[in-house]
Amino acid sequence: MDEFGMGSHSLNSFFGPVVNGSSLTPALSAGGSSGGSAVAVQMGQVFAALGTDTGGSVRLPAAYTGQCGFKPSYGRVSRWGVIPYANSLDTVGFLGQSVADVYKVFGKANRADDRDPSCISSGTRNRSARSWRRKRARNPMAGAKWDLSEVKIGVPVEYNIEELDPAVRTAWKKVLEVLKEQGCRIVPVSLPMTKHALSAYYVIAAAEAMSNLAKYDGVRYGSRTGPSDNAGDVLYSETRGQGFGNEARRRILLGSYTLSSEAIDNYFLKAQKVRRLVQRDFDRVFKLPNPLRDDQQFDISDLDESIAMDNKLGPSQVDYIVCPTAPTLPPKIQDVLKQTPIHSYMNDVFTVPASLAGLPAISIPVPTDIKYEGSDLHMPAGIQLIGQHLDDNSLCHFASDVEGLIKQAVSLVGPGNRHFHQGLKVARESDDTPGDRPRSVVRYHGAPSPLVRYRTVPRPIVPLFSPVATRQEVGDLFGSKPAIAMIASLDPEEVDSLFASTLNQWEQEKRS
Amino acid sequence: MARIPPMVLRRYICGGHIPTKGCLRMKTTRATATALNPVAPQGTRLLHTDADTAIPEGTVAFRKQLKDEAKRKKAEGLGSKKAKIDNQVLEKWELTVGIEIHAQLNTPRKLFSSAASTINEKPNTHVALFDLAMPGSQPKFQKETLIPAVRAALALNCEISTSSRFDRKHYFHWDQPAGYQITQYYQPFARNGYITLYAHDGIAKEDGDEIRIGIKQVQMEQDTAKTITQPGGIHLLDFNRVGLPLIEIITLPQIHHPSTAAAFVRKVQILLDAVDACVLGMESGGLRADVNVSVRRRDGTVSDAGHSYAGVEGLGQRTEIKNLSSFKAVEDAIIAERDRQIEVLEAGGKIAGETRGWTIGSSGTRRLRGKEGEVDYRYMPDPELGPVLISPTLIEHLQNTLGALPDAEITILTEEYGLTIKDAMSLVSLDNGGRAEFFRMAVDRIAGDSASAKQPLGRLCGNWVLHELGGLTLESGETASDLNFDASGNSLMPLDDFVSLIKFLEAGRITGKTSKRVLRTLFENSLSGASTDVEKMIEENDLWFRPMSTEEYQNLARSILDPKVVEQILKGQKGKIMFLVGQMMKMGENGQVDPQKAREVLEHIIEENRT
Repeated sequence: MDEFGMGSHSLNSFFGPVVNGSSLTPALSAGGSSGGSAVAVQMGQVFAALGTDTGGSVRLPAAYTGQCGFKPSYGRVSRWGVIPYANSLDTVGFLGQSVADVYKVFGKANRADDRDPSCISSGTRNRSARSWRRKRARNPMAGAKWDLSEVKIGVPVEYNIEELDPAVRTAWKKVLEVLKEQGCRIVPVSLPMTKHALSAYYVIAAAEAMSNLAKYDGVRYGSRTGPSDNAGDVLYSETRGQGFGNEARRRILLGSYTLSSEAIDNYFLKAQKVRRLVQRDFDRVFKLPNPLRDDQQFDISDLDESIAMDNKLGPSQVDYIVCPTAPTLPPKIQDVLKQTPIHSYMNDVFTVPASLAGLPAISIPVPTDIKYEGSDLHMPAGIQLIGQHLDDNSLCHFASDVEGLIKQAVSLVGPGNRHFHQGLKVARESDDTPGDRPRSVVRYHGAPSPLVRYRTVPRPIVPLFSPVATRQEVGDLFGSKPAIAMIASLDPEEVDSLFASTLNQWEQEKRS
Repeated sequence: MARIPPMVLRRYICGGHIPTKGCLRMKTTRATATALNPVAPQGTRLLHTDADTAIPEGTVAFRKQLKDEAKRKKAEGLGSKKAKIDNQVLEKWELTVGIEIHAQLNTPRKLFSSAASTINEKPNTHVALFDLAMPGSQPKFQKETLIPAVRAALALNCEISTSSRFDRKHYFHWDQPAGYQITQYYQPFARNGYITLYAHDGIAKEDGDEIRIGIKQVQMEQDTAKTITQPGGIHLLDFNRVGLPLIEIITLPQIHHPSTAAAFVRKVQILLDAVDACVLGMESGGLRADVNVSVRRRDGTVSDAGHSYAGVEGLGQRTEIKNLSSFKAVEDAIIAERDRQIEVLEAGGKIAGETRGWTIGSSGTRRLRGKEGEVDYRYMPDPELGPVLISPTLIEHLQNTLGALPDAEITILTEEYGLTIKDAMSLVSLDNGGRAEFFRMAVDRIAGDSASAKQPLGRLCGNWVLHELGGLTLESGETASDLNFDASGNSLMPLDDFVSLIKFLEAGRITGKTSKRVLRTLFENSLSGASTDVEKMIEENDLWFRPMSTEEYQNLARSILDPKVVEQILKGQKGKIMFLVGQMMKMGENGQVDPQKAREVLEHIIEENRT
């Protein structure tokens, strides 16, 4: 994995890079930061693997390696023992060859833990479970049937970006067509804050990372370098400057800058406001209310013009959102190495919004028309399904259905197909897992009862700082100083020198 | 034990020689002890010659030295006190002070872990994973810490926020394992409080009878680890202290005199103590103060006064003096820093915004770090701690159970019970308030429904509860407070008996002297567990006060009359009459002799002698 979970390609590691598939030439990126976990699953070395998903670290590797990756709702799984990267975003995620495998493991971990202050209490879980039970099948894996024609799917128009790889776009369309055939209603939805989400994510995550990594000062954690006690009036600069890798340093710098008294208003506070707006975007789009918040009124004046009004109250609301996990197919490692950090941050553009909003999201593989070089195997694209907060169970149910439908509809030798794994020289002993079993036609009986709105006492679990801002307030987001671009574009040597000088400047330890 | 000169001891231990004089003297002269390592006395003697000769002289010198030291200190103390009075106010300059006080909350657990909060345990024995910032550990807010915190804030007249949050304050130091301290920066749990200081709290004369000092906010935060410095530049860390709950009290810059600042800190300690919010007093390190000091010209001619803090405009550049650990240090440091700033400004210099330090006994503050080295704490809302929600019911409950604060108590004692402020203050400060409670119960019992009787009775009772009860000590004198008062006023002295005793005294049925004897007996009986009936006891010992008739007075007077003295009195030495009155009082049993009456009778008889 990447050092401290920082990276999108699992290349920032002391132990060397992770390689996607064992025999592919040229080597492809496995995605990051939990690329190692994904490849272990891909190779069949393990049944399922854990990873922490902060901004897409489980879903992105799943998409690049053709596996299933699930990031539950924030607070579903205890983080006790997880070394934090950004506490308000970190979520324990699961990787497996099929939705069923992933769900099995998730079921074991899905419980309250009072050692984690952000873990959802059993009270809130029970409340939500009662509510879901009224609405939907009790257990998505128990074979309960429901009518897909009652399911409404949202397609966020803002996600159809120019940079989207045509092969990924085709796969996305394919999935939507398959769902449409089953009677799903497919509607365009608007998530206008998406374009700011990535910047906000990198500001918030870097700030929290800076804070969490402050303990590695060589006193208790981290290794102390050199005998330079108190040289030049600072105790920790040298130690702090030596141990961390480039990406960790870059983010510590970014975090230190965005929290500094001169920049906090323009970066950190704005990013928190953007985060709130991203959540509002989702709450407006989903049929289910967010269990953590009171019913809200939404302003629809800033919606994209292409969004049709469902009725006079606004556009239609949906059960799930379907979008790509990553804008491209797995890139070649040699290309990644040439990229600027900014370019590499772009990979997270579709995964970050669900992380900021704390929503459950699952990435399932869809074979594309593109083949691996020198192989008959089709490369996978990840398609991401996002549900409302705490709606994890029904999302998994739905994802499992979609997985089955794709397998029927797409006959290419790609992920999810046993030849795909064998083709990747997977040394798996048995292919007899539920996910690989060819399914008969999935039949849906019984409509889910109309979605019941319910209210809970709002219990803010995702610690949020600022009140909701208007879009105008964050309009000129990050002002004239594009810190991300500024710091991310530095080459490693510049980072080194900047890091040392900034630390010298900031670190005047308390003396008395 | 008698002091044995080291020389003699050494000869005994090393050589087995026993001196022929003193307590170690043998009856018969023979060596009873054999030295383990017989060493020639001369050999050791050589080494220790200096010490041997020095010791007797040293002993004398040391005693003298102690005495001189005490004398010198006394003289100095008087001197500095005088200097302080002159020092409170300056003609041309106005001083402005804001104070931050850190106090350790009285709770069984740490702020974010279930490790026990301890004071003097073995180092590093009460530390949870989170206290050490172990990667992967998480904070768990201990809600019990809210109770003393809210009580403290209520005692400081603050508004309690029903929702508050924790923030991370980042700086690197070895006593801070996480690299940040969790505190409340953006949304503290209490704001907008105040303390009223009265003249009896020791404020500067210029502040008049009372002054109100505003409190900007009160916040909860974590303590740091304790650094134990060893010789050779080694620092040992005791993580028992890390994560203990503190409150930080931040005032508005409304203090203008050094002694008022000291009075403020003292008052805060009294208040926190009264509501049982804090563990230790200032002198034992449970309370620490930082002061922000600035000066400006009274006529406003200096251009440097463009600073503002917490809405107060036109202040001079301030400096912060950190870690003051006594009331005297607060006052002295402020005076020294004020004088330093004035000196700099008058010389045409500029004050730099910096952090300064003060060591007890020094004459000036010293620079710790300047503005350019000022830490940017990069405050960040803690991303995994939710808001602290305090229900209004809890606040109301704590408000109702807070009890009377010392100021209210003193007002009641002076206005309702007729005590002087001085007596009221000493009553309140004794036995954790138990003495005052006992006093009030006693007066209420005696006065019954009559409110007007309370004042004279209060004065009488006050005297007895403070001084006579205070005078009762065990023969052994083992403990300071022999009456074992608890906070609700229960003690070894039975209230009923005390009340009936005072009733007899007040009615004039027994004399003060008798009462004291009875009180002593009551105390002794109660120690031995015997019960006493006051009335019966007086009866049995025939202690009732019988006023003597005039005839008896005359007889008594005649019996002590000394012709010599009478002559002197007649010659005009009127003062000698009191000598005779004293004689009469001595003669009279049980203090029956009323001096007024005795004097009248005496004068009368002496006048008779004139003719």
